[in-house]
Amino acid sequence: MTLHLMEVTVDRWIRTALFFCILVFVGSCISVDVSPYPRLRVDDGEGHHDIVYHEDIIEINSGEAVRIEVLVEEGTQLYGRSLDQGELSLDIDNEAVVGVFPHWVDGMWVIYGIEEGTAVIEIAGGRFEIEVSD
Amino acid sequence: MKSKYLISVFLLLTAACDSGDSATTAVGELGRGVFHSACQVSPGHFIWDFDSSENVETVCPIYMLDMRLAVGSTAGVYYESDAYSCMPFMAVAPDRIAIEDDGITVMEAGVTALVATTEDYSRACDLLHVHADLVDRIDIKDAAFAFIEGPGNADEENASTLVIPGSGSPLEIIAVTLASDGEPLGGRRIVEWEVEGPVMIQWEGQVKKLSNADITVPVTLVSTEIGDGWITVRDTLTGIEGRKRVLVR
Repeated sequence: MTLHLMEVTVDRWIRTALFFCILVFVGSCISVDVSPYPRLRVDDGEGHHDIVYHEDIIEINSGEAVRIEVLVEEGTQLYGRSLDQGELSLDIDNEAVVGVFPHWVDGMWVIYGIEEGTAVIEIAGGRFEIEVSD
Repeated sequence: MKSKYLISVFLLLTAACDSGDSATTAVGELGRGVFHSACQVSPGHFIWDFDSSENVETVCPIYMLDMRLAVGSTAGVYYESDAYSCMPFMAVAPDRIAIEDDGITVMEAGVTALVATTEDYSRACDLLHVHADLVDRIDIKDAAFAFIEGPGNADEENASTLVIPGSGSPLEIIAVTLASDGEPLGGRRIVEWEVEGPVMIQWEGQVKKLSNADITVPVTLVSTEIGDGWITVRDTLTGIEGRKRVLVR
């Protein structure tokens, strides 16, 4: 009887250990984006889109406009402040080169090239360089 | 199985409807409304029906939203949205495209985005990219076959010459601006028509040898004699000419 109880207990330990091993293995396989910076989805409106990361370069032509969308989930914390989309703002350092309109949906913008040059936009701590060519 | 069949039929019908509408309307790139190309020549002229080779009574705006515009031309474009606050659009490169009451005027080649904004210009409602190119040459075509792939264009003689079938019968022709790659360019512009030989231009109830006209309006050729003639069309802005032989049989 005692032997039987011991067998059951050992079996339960083995199963629990196996379960944790599987959990750790699966956990290690899943890559989590831990970057504190937002990513942008850049959509040219003609069927092409790119995902760009902090300090990446976005290339557009003068006269051309692209839609940018901040890829953060609503309510995510970044730098200790809420990223609810309504609170996002976009700063641009060279308005002679790049123009911007907020999109009718919060959290998106339309940016367009005005003349050849470069400008940097900042959104929620992420910096993205815009290269405008003629 | 039956439902799959029905879904397929539905999708095919939807695709067919979409293809018919795609030329004159385009859903804005931000999905808030629809951009239209508009015929603004005169009442009675309608947008060309690409899908019907029989509906050749009128040829109008020569600008479909999926084609390039000719530099120097104007085109009727307007934006419609359910959103009340969305106003008419602006061009992000005003040195390339000028916005006017009845449409747009192209001043430079390239791509320019038209942005429909809210009334206070604070937000973008929608977006459309307009492509423009320089006029490389002008072709003169039988209006009945100007933009339709079919017997009219396949016929070599029709491609190189125009035929007036019997003296007294009119022939409607139209000029088409072409880019360097041979693709037709859209837009209205003023051209000068000139004929030589027995052919005459019938224009607003008069018969002339020389006439200025909007390129989007077909020109009627008539002749009272059998013989050979020539017709020349000249773009008044660039001076580029197109010339074709006219046979009166």
